[in-house]
Order: sequence, then structure tokens, then C-alpha cells
Amino acid sequence: MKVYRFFIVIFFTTVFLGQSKSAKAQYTEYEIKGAMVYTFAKFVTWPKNILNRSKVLVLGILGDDPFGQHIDRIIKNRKANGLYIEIKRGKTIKDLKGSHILFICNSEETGIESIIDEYKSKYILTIGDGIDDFCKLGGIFNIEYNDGQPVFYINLEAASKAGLIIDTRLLQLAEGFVISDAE
Amino acid sequence: MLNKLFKKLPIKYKLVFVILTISLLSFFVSFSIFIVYDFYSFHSKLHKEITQLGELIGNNNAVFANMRGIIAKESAQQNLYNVLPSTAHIQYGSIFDQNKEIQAYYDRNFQDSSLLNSTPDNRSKNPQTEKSDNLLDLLQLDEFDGEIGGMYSTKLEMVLDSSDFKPVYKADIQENSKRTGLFFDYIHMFFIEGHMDVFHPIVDPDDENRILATVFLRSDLSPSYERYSQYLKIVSIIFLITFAVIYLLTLFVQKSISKPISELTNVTLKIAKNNDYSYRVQEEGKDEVALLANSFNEMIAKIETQNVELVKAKDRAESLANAKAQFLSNMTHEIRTPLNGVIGMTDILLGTKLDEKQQEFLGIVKFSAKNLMVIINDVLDISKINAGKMTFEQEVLDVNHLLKTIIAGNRGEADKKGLKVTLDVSDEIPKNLLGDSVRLSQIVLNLFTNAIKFTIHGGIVIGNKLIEKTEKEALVRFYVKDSGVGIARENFDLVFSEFSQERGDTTRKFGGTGLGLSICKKLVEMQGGKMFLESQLGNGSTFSFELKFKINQEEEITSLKTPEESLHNGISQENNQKVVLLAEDNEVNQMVVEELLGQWQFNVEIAENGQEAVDMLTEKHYDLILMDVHMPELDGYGATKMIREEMSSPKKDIPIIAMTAAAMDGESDKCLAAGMNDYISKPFDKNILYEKIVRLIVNNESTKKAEN
Repeated sequence: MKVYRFFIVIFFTTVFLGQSKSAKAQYTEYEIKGAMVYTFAKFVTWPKNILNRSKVLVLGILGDDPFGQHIDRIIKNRKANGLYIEIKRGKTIKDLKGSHILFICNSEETGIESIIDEYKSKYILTIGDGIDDFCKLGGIFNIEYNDGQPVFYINLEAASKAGLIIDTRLLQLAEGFVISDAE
Repeated sequence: MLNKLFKKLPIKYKLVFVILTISLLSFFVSFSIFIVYDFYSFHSKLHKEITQLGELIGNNNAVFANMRGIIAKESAQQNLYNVLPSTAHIQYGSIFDQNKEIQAYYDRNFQDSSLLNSTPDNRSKNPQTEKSDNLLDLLQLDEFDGEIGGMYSTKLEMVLDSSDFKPVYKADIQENSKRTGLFFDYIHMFFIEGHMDVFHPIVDPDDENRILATVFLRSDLSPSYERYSQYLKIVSIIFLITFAVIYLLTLFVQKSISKPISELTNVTLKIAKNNDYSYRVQEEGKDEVALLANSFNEMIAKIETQNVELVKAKDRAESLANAKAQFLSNMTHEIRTPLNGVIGMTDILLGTKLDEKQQEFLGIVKFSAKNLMVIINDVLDISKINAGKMTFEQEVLDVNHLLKTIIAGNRGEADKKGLKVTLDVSDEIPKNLLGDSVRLSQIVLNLFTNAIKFTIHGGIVIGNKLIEKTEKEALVRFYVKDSGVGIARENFDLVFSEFSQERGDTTRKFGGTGLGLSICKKLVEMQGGKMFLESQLGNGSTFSFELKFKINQEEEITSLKTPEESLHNGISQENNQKVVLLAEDNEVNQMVVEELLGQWQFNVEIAENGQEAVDMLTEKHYDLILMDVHMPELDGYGATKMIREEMSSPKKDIPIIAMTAAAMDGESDKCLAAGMNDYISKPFDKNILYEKIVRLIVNNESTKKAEN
């Protein structure tokens, strides 16, 4: 599925958009996804008391990091919620303690339920990298590639539970809204 | 130049000019300020509006901007088409990404239905939406993508392709990010050919210095410029109305100023033209002009009363002068009558046997009386001349003969002094000149007696010369040259002025009134002539004058024998048979005339008044009547009238010579009108009387002969 989607993305970017003047052609998938993560960080609001404790906004990348240096370049000297962003990379939840944003890599798809449970309702913005049923399981953002177009889904309930406010402009751009499975 | 022109303008136009200039100036200044203010406030408002629009679009598309247009492109495109059409003046709109590339584009002229209706917002996106809907959407999108591929970018390109305008990112936006204007701050604003271009930055909400993208909006200003042409129309109408109102008001004001002034001018002209000071200016109102009119009226009133007084004074003075002249002429007349008697009787007495002593005394009496007569005549003449009452006859006259007669009649004095008197006349002078013989004689005689008076040795030359002659006129110069005492050059003017002689002792030495030369000069000048004087002290003088005479065009009927000829040809013998009737009431005059006529061998009979004369004529034949005009019972005029009208021929044709004592004007005309043949004013020159008598008798006889 993941591989299939990946190929679709490649296909469309090369065949349909490659000749167009679209900006997307200039960027790799994870450049785009990095930009999206940065955008989410910007247009999602944390409660003030949470951020007041921290000097930076911590972005944790859980699993096998697909961004490489792209994400570092994107967020360098840039602010979100008035704070500079710091990146933490780790394989375990422990490694990424203190993160405000958790980007869960595709590699973690198998144990996703426990990971989401661990983070939900804790003022942490969870972003899934094209993980199936990420939002259904209680993840807040899930970024996917839909026929070569980067799209994202939102679980508003989860965001609300996590104490985060998502900018309406971001909501407007969401490809779809997902409701958590009844537990 | 302009100043001169302005001065020439009537007050009316000056007023109109000044008031119009001021009002138009203020009108245009306020209008200009209004326009400028309106322009700026309009642009300020517009700019604010566009900025807000840019702000809104930027805000709406912040995510899009942050994503550098990678996602939400359709949404951005859609957003432009949702927001901008409601603002009619926005022609174009676009969003530039950080790379200054267009990521969304709006063209007012390109309104694609798909862009307007199929907004992503219309799709089910609320949290309550079922997943199945979501999936359906995804499916639709998939289908759509499958057909035309990159739908978002295609839509952008669709608009870009169909538009004839492609906005270009201005390079200097960053540098001149903010400028301060007079009335408002404008950011990234450009006015180009009726457009206002605004580049509005979408700023990173977390970093003021970071511009995520730029919204470009172009506003079409032509509708706003239309309002200025609208303004111009309205202003033109207001201007015309204002102009008309101002003009009318000015005319009104001008009337209240210049109308009274022109009325004042009119009254002034009327007064000047008619010399009537009873005109007044009508005063209206209480302004300065009315004040002027008031003062003018007061002034005219004063002048009027002054004029009345002046006229009264003038009348009084004139009547006084008249009374004086009347008194003078009456007095001289009254004096002359007795004086005439004195001279006449002295003449008669000198003809009787007297011893030497008596002769000498009588000579002095005669001299004094004659002198007195001259004085009286002179005074009379000068008063006549001064009163402008001197008139000149136009009778046929032979000037050469006249000069001869004058010398003949007056050379006695010269002979006594042993002076040689020479006559030097020109034969070229016509014998039928028209002029006043009495006045000419008076002038020449005066000069002659003067010459005699002031010459001790040598002689006197009296002569004339023809200066110029045309068919109708002749200019003759008369002169009297003596070898007398002469006159100093500086006194030339003095000798001609009234009551003055060359030296104070002249009167004592030579007698005279000092009026003679003055009278001569005036008589000459009044006849259009000129008087000359050449003299050297001690070397004699030459008085001369030039007179212009008309030449008588009628042929002379009779050539008369001069009294001299008559006298010398012994005609006096014939006088024995002639009887002259003298009608005279004054005894002295009776004696004088009787004596004279007796000397000339005429028979004389006397009538005491006019009635007696008429009666005597009826009884007896007379050859001539000498008729005094003023007599008791019937005066000379009445008697003559009776003779001429009531008697039968030949008695009614008897020659009558009037003897007028009054040397007044009109007397001679009156005599001739009454039917008298001639007249002589008392005191008369005996030669003239003799001449007149002889001529009339001879004439009468020759007519009788002709009739027979």
C-alpha cells in the first residue's frame, strides 16, 4: 500500500506535473512534508502555560527519519508559536520526552496504537506520515500523498482532547476530517 | 500696459472686473483645494480598502503562503475569486510566492463558472461528515484528476492564458517597503496609467521580518477619474450661476455708484451748455456719492445766487454808464448851442468896424470859443467811441478834393504862422470811393491842426498815395508831414493814448485836450485801417494812416461844382435872386445863420417855428428851407412831412436842409426819413453849409429844367 502510493506519487509528479510550472516539481516528497509539519506547528496553538515552560518548540521524529537534513533546513531560524523549533530524533517514546510535536514515521506503523495512546491528551501534536487509520486511532494529523498531491486529514476530536487549537485556515485545507473509532 | 488699460475702463467694468476676479479666485482656490483633498482622501480610502482586501486575502491564504503554494493552490485561487468580485474596481489580483512566481491569479474579465461555484468549502468538510462522504470526495477528486490531471495549476494557467495582463513582481518592494505621504501612508503602491497597484506582503505571524508571500491587487481608477469630469461639469454649472449672480450684483452696486456720478456729469454738462444754474442733482441714499451730489448742489446754489447778484450789479453798472453817456451827450449838446452863438456872433462882430484893441480881444474870444468847441467835440466823440456808438457812412467821396477843401478851409492859422502848406495828392486815386467824408475830414483836419500847432518854422505837407487797387477796393495812405518839434520814439504810444500828450507842458504851450490823436487812431482802426507815426525829436513828424475804400460801382450822375468854385466863379451873384427860408426858434442861431447867408448874398426870411414855415411857404416861393428840427408848435419833422405830403408840386419838392443840434445817432436817418434832403449838425462848418445849400439849389434847378 505504502509502496503503491509512493509509486503513484512518483508517477503523477513526473507525468502530469513535471512539465507544469508547479512548485511541487522542485521539491522532494519529504521537503514538502517537512514544510507541512512546519506549517502545522505554525497554525496549531498550544495553551500558553504549556509553551511558557519551554524556550523552544520541540519536534520529535519517532522512528526511521525520512527527512534527513531537509527538515533542519526548513525550520532553521524559523519560529512557530513565537518559538524556534528544535528537532529531536529517537526510536522510542522515552527518547523523545518533552516533544510538543511528534512526527511518527512510517516505520512505526505496526505499533502505532500504543504510540498514539501514549501521546494523546497530553498537549502533543501527533502527525502521522501516511500511517493507515492514524487519525481513526486518535492521531491528530495524518499526511498522505493522494495521487501525487500532498494532502492531510485531521482528527479534531483528538486535537481537542490534546488541548490544541487548530487554525481554521488549516481546517479549510484539510482533505478530510476523521472521527476516532469508538473505544 | 495693463494698468493703463484698467485706468481707461469705466467704473462699471472696474467694479465687475475686481469683484469677479476676487470671487473667481476664491472660487478656484477653494475648488482646487477641494479637488486635491478629495483626490487624496479618495486615494487614501481606496488604498485603505485595497490594503484591507490584501490583508484579508493574505490572512486567508497564510497557510498557502507558508507552504509556498505547494498545497492549497486551488483554495488560494478559489479564495481570490470568492473575495475579489465583490470589489468592482479590482481588475486583477494575484499572489506571488517567495520566489516571486504567481501562485494564484484573478482577472475581473475572466469569470469561470467552475471557479465561482465549485468552492472547496461547499464540499462537506465539517467534522460531523461521515467518512464515506470523505471517501466520495476523494473518489470525485480522483476521477477529476484522472481526466485533466493537475487541475489546480491548470485553472491558474487557464486564467493566466486568457488574461491579457500578467503582473510582474516589483523588485523594489522590499527596499521601499513603507513611504509616508502627505495625507496617508502608502505601502507598495504604484499609480500607473489610471491604475493603482498595491503589493501587500503576507507576513509570517511569528516573524515580522519574514514575508511569506505577496498579494498583488490592481485597482481600476478610471471610474474614480470619471467623477472628476463629473465634478468639472457640476463646477462649471456652479461657476456660471456664480458668475451670473456676481455680475448682476455688481451691476446693482455699480448703478448705485456710477449712476449718480453720471447724473452729476449730465447736470454739469447741462449747466455748462445752457448757462442755467437752476439745475440740481437728485440725491438718493446717504453714501459718499450722495454726499458729493449734495456738495455739488450747494456749490451750484451759491454760484446761482452769486450770478444773480452779478447780473444785478452788471445791469446797475450798465445803466449807470448809459446814464453817464446820455448825460455827456446831452450836456455837450446843451453847451454847443450857446457856444455856437458865441462863435457866430464873434465872427459877425469881427466883421464890423473895431479898433485894434477890440479886434485883439475879440480874436482871443474866438480862439477860446473854438478851442472850447474842439474840446467838447472831442469829448463827445470819445464817449461815442467808447460807448461803441460810432457809425460810419458810406457815401461817394473824392478824397483829393476833400484834402483840398480841408486845406483851403483851415490854412488861415498856418498862414498866420508863416508856414508853407503843400498838397501832394496822387491822381491815381479813384474819384468814386465810398467812405465817410465827415470822419475822414475829422481825422485829416485833426492831424493838420496838430501839425500847425506843433510847427514853428518850415511847412506842412498833406498828401495821399495809392497803395493798392483792385476792381472793387482801393487802399489809400494819407499823410501829414510837418517840420515841427517831433516826438521821441519812446513816446510814440503815449501820444495816441487818451488825455495824454507827449510832455506835461504841452497843454500849457500848445493847448488841446490830448484826445485828438487818440480819436484819430480809433476812427482809423474802427474803419479797418492802420495809423503810423514816423518822427524824430526836433526833426518833425509824419502822421499817416491807411484806409481801405470800396469803389463805387454805380456811375456818378452829377459832377458838382465845389463851393470854392462856386465862390470863385462868382455864382454868389446869382444868389441874389435866391431866397432861403430859415425855420429856427433860437434867436442867436437865427442871427448867426442870417449873417452867414447874408455874407453869401442869399436873401433870408425867418420863420419862428414849423407851422410858420409851412404857412410862409404856402404864401411865397422859396428856393431852399433851412429847418431846425426842434421847434415849438410844429417841429422840423412835422413841417417837412406837411410840405412833402400836403403841398402841391413844385412847392412840395423844395430842398430842405435839417439843422440838428443833437449830435446823436439816428438823427440823420430820422431827418432823411421825414423827407429832408440833407442835414447839418450844429455847430456847423460854414463852408460845409454853403456847399450843401448850393448843391441842393443847383440840383433842384437842374431837375426842374430836365422836367421842363
